[in-house]
Amino acid sequence: MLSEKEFSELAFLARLDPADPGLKGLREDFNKILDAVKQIEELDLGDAGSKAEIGPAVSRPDVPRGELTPRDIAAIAPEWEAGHFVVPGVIQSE
Amino acid sequence: MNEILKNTASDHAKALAKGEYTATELTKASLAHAHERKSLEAFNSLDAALVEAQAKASDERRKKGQTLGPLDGIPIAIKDNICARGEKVTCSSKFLENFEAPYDAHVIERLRAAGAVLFGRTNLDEFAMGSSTENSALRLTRNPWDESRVPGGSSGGSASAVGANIVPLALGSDTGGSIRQPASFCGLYGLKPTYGTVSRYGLVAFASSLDQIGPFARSAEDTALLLNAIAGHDPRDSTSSPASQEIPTPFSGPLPDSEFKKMRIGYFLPQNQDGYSKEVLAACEKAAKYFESKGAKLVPIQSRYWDYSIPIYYILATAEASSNLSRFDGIRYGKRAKGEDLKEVYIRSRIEGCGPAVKRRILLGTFVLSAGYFDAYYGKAQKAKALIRQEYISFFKDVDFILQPTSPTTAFKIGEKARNPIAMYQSDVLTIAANLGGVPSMSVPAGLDSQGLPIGLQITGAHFSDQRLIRYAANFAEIPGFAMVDGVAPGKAPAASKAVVTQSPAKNDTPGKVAGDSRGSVKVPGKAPVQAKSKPAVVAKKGARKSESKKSPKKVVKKTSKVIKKATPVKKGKTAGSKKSTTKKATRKKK
Repeated sequence: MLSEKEFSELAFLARLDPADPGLKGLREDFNKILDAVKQIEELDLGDAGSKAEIGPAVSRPDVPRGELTPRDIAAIAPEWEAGHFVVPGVIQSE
Repeated sequence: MNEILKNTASDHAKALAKGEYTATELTKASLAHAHERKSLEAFNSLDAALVEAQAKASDERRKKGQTLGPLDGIPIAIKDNICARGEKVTCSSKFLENFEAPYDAHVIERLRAAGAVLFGRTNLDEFAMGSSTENSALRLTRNPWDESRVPGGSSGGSASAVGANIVPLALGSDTGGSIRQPASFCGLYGLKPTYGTVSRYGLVAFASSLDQIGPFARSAEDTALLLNAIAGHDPRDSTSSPASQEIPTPFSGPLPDSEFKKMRIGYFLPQNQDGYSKEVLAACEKAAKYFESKGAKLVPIQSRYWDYSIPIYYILATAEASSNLSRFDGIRYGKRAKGEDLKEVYIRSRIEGCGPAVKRRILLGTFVLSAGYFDAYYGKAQKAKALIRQEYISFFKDVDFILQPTSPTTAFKIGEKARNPIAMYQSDVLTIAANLGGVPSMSVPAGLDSQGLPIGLQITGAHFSDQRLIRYAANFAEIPGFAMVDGVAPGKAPAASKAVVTQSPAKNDTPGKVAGDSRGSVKVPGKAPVQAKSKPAVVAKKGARKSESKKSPKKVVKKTSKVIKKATPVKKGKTAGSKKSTTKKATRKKK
C-alpha cells in the first residue's frame, strides 16, 4: 500500500503531475492493483527460476535507414522551425 | 443490409472472380451498412472517398486481368493503432487524436500489395490497454449482438465491425487477449499468431514482447486467408522470426477424421470456477466430448504458472508500456500542452493526453521498474515468463492442442466492470498465458448462451503451428449448435444508445467520412440531423443453437488418460492446483 507521499513520488518518476486531481483519484485503484500484482511473491520458482533462460536481448544493427524525410517529420511535429523541433526552456527548471 | 454482406471473404473472392458483383458494389454495400449500424461506434474514422477509390482501382485491375490475389477488392477494417500512411492513427487517445502516420506498417504494405480495400480505422481501448473498449477516449463501441453490452477489448471496434457484417475481415492486435476475447464476445474467429509471425513494424507499441497483430474473421478459412497475407519475416521488426516465412500456406480445410484417432487434446477447466458462466464451461465440455467421440484422447492440463498469469502479465506489460509510452511527451508528435519549461510541457502533455487506464499502467510500470522492486517484481516475472514458454513446449510434446474457454463469461454490460480494474483484468485470465508463452492461440465460436450471446472457446497450439490450429478451428463448426448461421448479429439496440447524426463536418473531414467526435454520437457530413434508428439486422437462425446450449453435457474429465505435470514445486508450501491453493485463491477473490 503506497502512502500519499510515496504515490506522489511515483507520479513524479513517471513524469505525471502528483497534483493532478485525476491522478489523486487513481491512488486507491492503484493500491488495489498493487495488491493483486503482489501475488507474484507467492510464486516460488525454485531451482527452475535460476535456470530460466529469459532469452537473448533481440536487437538489430543500429543502421540509419532514412525512412522519414525532414518533411515527413515536420508534418507531424507540434512545433517546427528551420529544420528543428521548437521547445521551451530546457534545463533551467531542474 | 445487402445480402452479399453475409458472405465470407472467401465467398467474396469467388463472386468477384465470377463477376457476380464488383469491388465497388461490395464496398458501397459495406459503407451503407456501416451507416445503418453507426450506433455501434465501431469506427474512429471511415473515409468513404478513400475506400471507394481503392475499390475502383481493384475493379480496374480485375478488368485488365491483373488481380493481385484473393484479397483483391475485399474490405478489411484496421485497428486504429496500426499505421497507414496519411491516415490518422489515434490509438483512441486524445494524445494522438490529430496524428497522421508518416509511413505504412508492414501489415498495411502487405494488404495494399494484396489489393485489399482498407476500410476505416476501428476503435480500441486507449493504446490497446483494456478489455472492453470502454477505455477509448474517443467513443464507446457496442456489441453487435446486444448494444447494451461491450464488444470486448481492446480490439472492440474491429470485432464489432466484423460481427455486424460491415466487413468480412479486420485486423486487431493482441497483447493479453485483445483479439481473442472480443472475438469470443462477438461470435467470431480471432487469432493471435505465434509471436514473431507477423511484423510489429508500424504497430504502436504497448508491450513489445507480447504484442502481436492478427485477424478477425467469420470463418476459419478467412482467418487463414488474412494470416497468409500478413505473415512473414520483416527485418524492420527485430523480433520477426525467419520461421514465419513458412506460415503462409493455402487453407486445406478442417482436419480429417483420421487425424483425431491419433490426436491428444489438452483440456483445461479451472478448478476454482467462481465467476465462470456455467454455459461457457458447458460449451467447452461439449466440444471436448465431441472430439473425444471422434477418437481424440482428452488430457487434463494443469499449469504451475497460469494461476499467476495476471500478476506476471501486469508486471511485464506495464513495465514495457511505461517505457514505450515515454515517447509521448509532446515534443516530436502528438498533443503538446502549454508549459513554462520543458518539464512542464512533458508532464502537462501526458496529463492532458492520456486517460486514467493509461496513467494507471504507466504508474505501475514505473513502480515495478524502480530501484528496490525491480528484482522482486520485474526480474521474477521475466523468469516466470520464460518458464511458461518452456511449460508450453513441454505440454505440446504430449498434446496437439489445448482447449479451454476464451473468457470466463460472455459479453458483459457496458459499465459493469468499468470501475473495477481487477474485475476487468480477470476477463483476460485465460488468454494471457498464450502471450507470455508466445504460442498461437485462437478463439472460435461455440454457439450462444441462453441470453443469445456468443460463447467463445480458445484453442492453443505449439509455436508456429498456426495453420494447423486454424484447420482445427474449422472442425468446431461441425459441432452441432456451434456454427454461426451467416454470421449475422441480431442487433438489439437499447433505448439509451440512440446516436445523433448531425450535419457539421469536423475539421479536415472529407465528404462521406464518418467521424464521431464524442461518446455515443456520429457525425456524417452531408446528412440532415435526424435521430438515428438502430436498424435491426437480419436475425440469425439461432433457435437450434439455443436448444443445443441448454443441454447439460456429461463430464468428460473421467475419461481422460493422463495428467501433464512437471516435477518442480512452484508454490511455497503447496502443490499447484491443490485444493489448498484453490481455497486460498477463492479467499483472495472474496477479499
